[in-house]
Amino acid sequence: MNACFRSLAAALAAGAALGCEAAPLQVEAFDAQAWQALQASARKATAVVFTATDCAYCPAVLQRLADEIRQRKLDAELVAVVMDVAPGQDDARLLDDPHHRDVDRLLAFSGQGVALRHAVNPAWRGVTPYVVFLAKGAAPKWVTGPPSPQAVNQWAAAAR
Amino acid sequence: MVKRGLAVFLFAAWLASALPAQAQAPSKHAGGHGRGRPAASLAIGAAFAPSGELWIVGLDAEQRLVVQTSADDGKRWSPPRPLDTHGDTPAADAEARPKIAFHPQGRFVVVTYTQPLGRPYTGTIRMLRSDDGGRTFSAPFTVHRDRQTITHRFDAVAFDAKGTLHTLWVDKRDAEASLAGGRSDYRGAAIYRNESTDGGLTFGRDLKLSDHSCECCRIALAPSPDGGLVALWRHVYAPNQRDHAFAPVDTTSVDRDPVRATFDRWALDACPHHGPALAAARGGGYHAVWFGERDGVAAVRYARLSAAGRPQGEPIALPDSAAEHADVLSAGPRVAVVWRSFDGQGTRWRAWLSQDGGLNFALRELGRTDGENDHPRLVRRNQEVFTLWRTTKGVQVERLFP
Repeated sequence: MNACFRSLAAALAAGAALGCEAAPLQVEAFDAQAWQALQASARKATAVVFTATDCAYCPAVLQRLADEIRQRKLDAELVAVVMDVAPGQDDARLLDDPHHRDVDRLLAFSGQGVALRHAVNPAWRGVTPYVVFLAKGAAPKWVTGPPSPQAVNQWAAAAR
Repeated sequence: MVKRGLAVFLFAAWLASALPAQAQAPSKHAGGHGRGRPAASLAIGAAFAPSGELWIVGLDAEQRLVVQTSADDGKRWSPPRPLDTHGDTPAADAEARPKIAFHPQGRFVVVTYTQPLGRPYTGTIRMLRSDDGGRTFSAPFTVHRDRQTITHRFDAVAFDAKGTLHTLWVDKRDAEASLAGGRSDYRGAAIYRNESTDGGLTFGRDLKLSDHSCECCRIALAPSPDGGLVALWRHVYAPNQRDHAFAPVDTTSVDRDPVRATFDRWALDACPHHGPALAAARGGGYHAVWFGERDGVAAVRYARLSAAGRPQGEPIALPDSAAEHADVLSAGPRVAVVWRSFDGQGTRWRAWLSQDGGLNFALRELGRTDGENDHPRLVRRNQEVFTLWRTTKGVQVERLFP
């Protein structure tokens, strides 16, 4: 039984139990091209949460957005981007983190953090959680800290 | 549909539970889109030894904890000397950096770092000590008495003028206890500390300096006129204002609230990852720099604080709207502030220098890189002030004063 199969089994169990999509099986690289690619490839409404391993406020935001997607039955994707651990550095710990189990994709900064932040939004100063709401045909909406109900509602409207 | 989902769940749950927990973790070498390279852990600590030699501590390319020394103020460095961490994997990223501190007479040297633990957001403060001027170091040991698997992070360490070793850290024991008691209204974390009068051989009990610190920002220390230390840290003022608090690092702080040192009134339920810096000022009081949002404008700001830590006059924004992770140090009337800023193409290393106690400053460009880089640091040897900046090309040192 290989590791991939075991991970798939664990993810299936967690996903089925929560009634949501399977947990991510891998940590993808968020590199210099990732942000453009993420925006371009977003086929559905997407919430991207930039987080850090010492961000005490991030788990609640991830949980809340996952709950919103599930309870409102949104056609939307939840993406977490970890800023202080590179892909390949500690993937097992990131994937095992219960706060990441409800996300559809898990990425991690690969490269110069300050440049990656600048690519996302030059005005972002590294505060986490930093949430970017993406919706087809609409400009990204950036939120520092927990998003307001109004911000979530606006994004959810685009995800129906 | 429901039955099929239940069947899938039961089968998968059986499959998962039949395996050892650690075996369920995917391999580090599992495929993925575009594997990234390991993070460059460039964060270093630096200090001058009483002998005048400059020391740095950080991680090398193999993620080993190493020290290097320079007898010519950073022009040439000794080969990296690994310190045995006995399996620890020190945090060395951004505001979590290894640190080194020398006893005033130089016999005792300590190296500290935060060791992340298995659960998210947890850590422990570890120390290696030397009683032969840094020729040899002990095995790492945990500094605090509290051994719960909770947050003990963002260590700050310094000897005071009398030779007492002070270690401070961000600690969530009170927040965890509050949660365990069914309450969820404890703001942030706490600042805890302890003291050692024998160079880190033994420590007093863990002492709380303050409740309600920020959970994710470094703590700044500076010498006080009485030979002790003072601390400045990002605080969470009710309900959620992330300003800064100041307190002496001594027993007089136990029953006193810390002094509010900044009034940005940045209301935020989030982690800035951006702590302050502090330096003693000639004639009393302190120089402080910090990052915050004030009236909607995010900036690193400078201000003078009184001897009690209260702000003196309006803070001044550094002349760089992209400035981040600034440090401050003074020597007599001279004051140096250094920082880095990203301009969209590369990162600049910049200094703001004053010859008159912070009344007037002049901007100086120090360097630039297109690659990864650490936050700039300041170090002092008597009246000489130097700044260090580690990039992927090495550690650069610039003399700022005189």
